[in-house]
Amino acid sequence: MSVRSNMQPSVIGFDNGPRKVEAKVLQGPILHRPALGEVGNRSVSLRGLKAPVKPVDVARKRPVLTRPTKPKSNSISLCRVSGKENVGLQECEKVEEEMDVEEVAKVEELSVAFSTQCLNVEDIDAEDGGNPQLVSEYVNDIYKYLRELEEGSKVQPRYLDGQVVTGKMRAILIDWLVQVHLRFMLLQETLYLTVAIIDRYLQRERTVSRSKLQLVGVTAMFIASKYEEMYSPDIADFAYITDKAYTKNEIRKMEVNILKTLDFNVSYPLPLHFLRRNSKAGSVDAAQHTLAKYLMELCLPEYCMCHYKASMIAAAALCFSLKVLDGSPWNDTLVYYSCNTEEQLMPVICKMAAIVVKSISSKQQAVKQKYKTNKQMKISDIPQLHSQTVKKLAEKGALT
Amino acid sequence: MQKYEKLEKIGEGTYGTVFKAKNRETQEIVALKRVRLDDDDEGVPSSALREICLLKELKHKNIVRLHDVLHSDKKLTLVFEHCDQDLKKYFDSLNGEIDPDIVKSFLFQLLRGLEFCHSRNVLHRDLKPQNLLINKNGELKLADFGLARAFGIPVRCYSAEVVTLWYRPPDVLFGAKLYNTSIDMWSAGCIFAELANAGRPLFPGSDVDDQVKRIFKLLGTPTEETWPGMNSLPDYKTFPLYQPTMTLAQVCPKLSSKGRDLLQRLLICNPAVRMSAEDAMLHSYFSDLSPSIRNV
Repeated sequence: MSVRSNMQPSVIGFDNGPRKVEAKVLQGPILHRPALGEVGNRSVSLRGLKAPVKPVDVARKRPVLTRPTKPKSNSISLCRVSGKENVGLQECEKVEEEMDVEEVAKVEELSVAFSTQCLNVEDIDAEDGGNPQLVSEYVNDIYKYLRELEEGSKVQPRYLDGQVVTGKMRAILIDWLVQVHLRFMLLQETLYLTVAIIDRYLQRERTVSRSKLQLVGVTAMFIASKYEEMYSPDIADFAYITDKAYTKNEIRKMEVNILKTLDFNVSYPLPLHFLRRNSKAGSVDAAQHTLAKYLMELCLPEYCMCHYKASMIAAAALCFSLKVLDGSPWNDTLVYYSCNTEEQLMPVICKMAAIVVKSISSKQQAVKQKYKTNKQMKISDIPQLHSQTVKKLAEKGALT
Repeated sequence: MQKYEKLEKIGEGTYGTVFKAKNRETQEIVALKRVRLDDDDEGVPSSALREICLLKELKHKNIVRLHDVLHSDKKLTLVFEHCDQDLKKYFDSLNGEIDPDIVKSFLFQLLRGLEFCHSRNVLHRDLKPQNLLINKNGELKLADFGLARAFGIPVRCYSAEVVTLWYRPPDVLFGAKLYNTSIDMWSAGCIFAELANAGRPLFPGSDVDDQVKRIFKLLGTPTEETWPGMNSLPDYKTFPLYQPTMTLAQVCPKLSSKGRDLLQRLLICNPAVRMSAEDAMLHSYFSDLSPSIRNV
């Protein structure tokens, strides 16, 4: 409970910021608003593959989830992310409902020769030749490039030191944005990109006042939507969602301000990009993948996690997920494709465990709530997250 | 815009007007693309936002260089390197004759620029002669990334409203929203044929139906066997089973047999089988490419 009491002063102090608006997202009249309704409808019809039309209770189909341990042979092949299953996008609607379309990864032939012959590395793309899916022979080039990119766009630890904005304010802001994101039915990428933009902006523009923080957040999401979404919500929707705390004109000005401050560099590699690759490398099932997604998202509001590279967060989340769900090892193939050994990941994993433990009593519940739905396999409710394994890991992870 | 002296209007991009201008200090000639930011709109247009963000990353000799982005009260100004003309205007000056070595050089440079985009997870999605710039040194550069976007792996659903009709691949014509780098390769094939014919478009369709018909009449109507999944595309329509009446040799009489072979591989209706930029650059058509072009 010490966590909770620690947080309170700041939460109260931040009263005229996102807190007030949080209520609006949760229960406001937003559902009845035509403009927003259209956003929702468009998303459903045009992005049909991703729309939560018929949430399937995967947990029910996968009794394993409610058990503390899972025999390997029990995993349901339908849910596999692995390339080997060759689950096509169009032909497998069920899978799409259970997991994001993108996660059913199919990647063409691997062109690099493995120099790491001593490792028992599987060529995870070998059986994918000729699959028409959205994936190219450029996959290894692209991931190499993404790793280069993330080196050039790092967030420094404790970058808020000396600023008015604190880590706790950041947590409240992002918790609220998770709700906005959900309400606007935006893509996963958009949420991660929003947070990436916020951190890079606050890192450079060190004089943001408390009253402008929410403007930064909502504008970051406005920019991320334009970059990622097929149909971005209107600027009026973003102004409205702040309970008219800011005008459209203020958002427009902040947009240019953020873009200039970041020198128009907003093509950041996101944890999601790396998780998909890792999930494929690990032939993981839907529960393992969904838990990893939950862990990654749980890290978003956590200030102490914001400086870790996207690839590191993605690898740690999956490694943690495998460990907690059924003790699957972080094998050579995963080491190879994630470019991280378990040893390297351990400090991050321990912090994630501490965040999971903290999430029980935390004020910020948006991510946890979101992952309680059928669509997310009720993954934030699974008993494994309260297991001794998690508690032991958490003891080693100080949230500083 | 004190830094630059506006010289003349060059044209209209996907968004905003393009001017030729001179840097008052360095005398360098540049192209300025102006994006208006009105009080009553959605801020920076997403096409401009993407173009700027993507071109920031794409620094390559076959991609138009974005030097700078200037911001003043009501507008953004994108400062690009200036090229003498676009491929469309170049075609107009040809009088129906083109040197086969120039065809080869331009296609190779187009493929090299594309390969660079694709290996950095960027799709151009609007390749056409108007968007390919050339300069006096015979260099070709991809331009107008207003419709481009970064893609994830696997690529997810994107808009089907991309690529100018004549250069649009059959899968996108049938409403495919799941496409990948192959979308640009079809356009590259169409442009290759147009180059070889000194500017005569290969498939100048008048509407979507006419476009598909023209493609199938030349290449033969695909079947579920040659193109599995075609029937289930959103806007799929049955077309008569055209048998090819014309060969590529008749359509592109001046193209060598190796060139025709490469063209054939780019113009494959089934996107899964369509050749990639990387592979196309290795095709034997380019075996006698001048080293000065290959090694630029």
